[in-house]
Amino acid sequence: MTALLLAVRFASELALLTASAVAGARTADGAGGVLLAVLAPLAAAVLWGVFIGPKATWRLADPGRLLLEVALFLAAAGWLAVTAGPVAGVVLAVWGVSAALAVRAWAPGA
Amino acid sequence: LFARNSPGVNEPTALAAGGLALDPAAVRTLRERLPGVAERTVAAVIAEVPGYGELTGQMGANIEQAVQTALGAFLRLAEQARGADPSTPLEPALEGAYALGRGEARSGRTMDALLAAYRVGARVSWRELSATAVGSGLSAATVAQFAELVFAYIDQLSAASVAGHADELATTGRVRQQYLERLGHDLLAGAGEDVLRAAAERADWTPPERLTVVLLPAVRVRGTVALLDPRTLSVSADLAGLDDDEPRAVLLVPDVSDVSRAQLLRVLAGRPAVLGPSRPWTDAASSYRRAVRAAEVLPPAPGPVDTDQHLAALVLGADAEALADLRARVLAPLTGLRAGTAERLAETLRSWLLHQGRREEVATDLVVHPQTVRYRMTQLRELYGDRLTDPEAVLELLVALAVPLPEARA
Repeated sequence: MTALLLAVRFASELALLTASAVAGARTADGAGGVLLAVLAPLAAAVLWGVFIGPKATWRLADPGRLLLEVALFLAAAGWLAVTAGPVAGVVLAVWGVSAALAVRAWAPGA
Repeated sequence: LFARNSPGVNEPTALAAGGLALDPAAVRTLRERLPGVAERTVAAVIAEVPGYGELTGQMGANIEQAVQTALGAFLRLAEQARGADPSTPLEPALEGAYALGRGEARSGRTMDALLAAYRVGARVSWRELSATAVGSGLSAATVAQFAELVFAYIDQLSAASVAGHADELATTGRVRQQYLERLGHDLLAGAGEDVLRAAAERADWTPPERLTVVLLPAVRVRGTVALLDPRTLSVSADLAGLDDDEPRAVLLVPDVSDVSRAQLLRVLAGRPAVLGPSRPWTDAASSYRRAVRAAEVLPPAPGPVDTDQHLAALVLGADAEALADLRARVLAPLTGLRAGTAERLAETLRSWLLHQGRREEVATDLVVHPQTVRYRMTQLRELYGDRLTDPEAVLELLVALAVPLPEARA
């Protein structure tokens, strides 16, 4: 159960990175789009690695960590909804927030 | 998610790869940089993930090779034309990721640490690969597709590793559980020290100084073990050779001192458990024998029974037949009396012996008037005569009557 939950959660993180790249690429044309597609997922990954992940350098305590996590997902979902359609945005938001809450309920500390 | 369990189906990556076909020049550039990317990925994992700091030498090289294989498989996937079957290049990488997960579990690393390594790997790989891809002049749309492919691929690799990690823990957990049960059985059977040490080593169980046996109903074991020392061994009733109406189990609790014995009794409060004495761990069978004997001899209790507090009763109950014969013999002078009278006189005689003839204390003990005690003792002196002053006879009377009479118990 814990293994599955952690895998689903990690998949949601990767979905967040992918969504950031897709939304970034669709936000601007040409070099701007390329730059956003590369840097947006990197920024999300760095934020996650520094403040949220179980082995994060300066891991925040809940509820601050949960708020940042939810904010990241909602921001990426919103961006994706605007650039790629509402369905993709809603799916990402529901997936990310559900995974964040499920981990706290069944695998606290992870 | 668990790609290892369905190795032929690599859907997320297949879908991502379906829309992307990198041109050969870009793939060539990426491939040339693979060793450097792998090296930097492993270096970042070592630097950033606690628990991976000792990844040096051969182990570090192996992991670097695994990362390089994974990235190589990814590039073969990326260069495939639209519609090609992506499962072929992924297979070795997924197998490798699965094996990596198993190895990490064997090395004692947690799943959190494993996923943290993947997290760092995803970031560094993306930084390196996207820089190269952008340098090759890809469009924003292609970079987005490339990101989809990279992260879907990492998702599959991580899922395979998580599956490997979980499988390894499950396998080793089951095997170790069997070894621990075997060790518990050997301890209760009183196996020799060499056998016990070998069994303990095989079960990866660090022997404590001493062990205390606890008998309790099997249904209570799970809730109880969670409150005890993690090294506590649990042996099922079948193994322990117990034959009860209610299935019982045996716990072997490490290092129970006088203080922790009181704590153990508190943990067992409300549970019909029997505690044997604390013994050197290689002599746990002795604690077990006493606990079993106590369960047979002592009256059932709703809470825990500490055998250390019932040693006299255990000694007296060691040969129930001999005790019954002795009791019949010493109570022979009372056989001609009515049952109720004989019982009251035997009870009075027992209390008089235990209180060394102090009439007031006997009266308090029996909740009767001192004159009643005097009257009954006069009767007993008439029945027993000189035997009440004969040391031999007094010893027999004391032993026979020490444990309350079965009728009085009932």
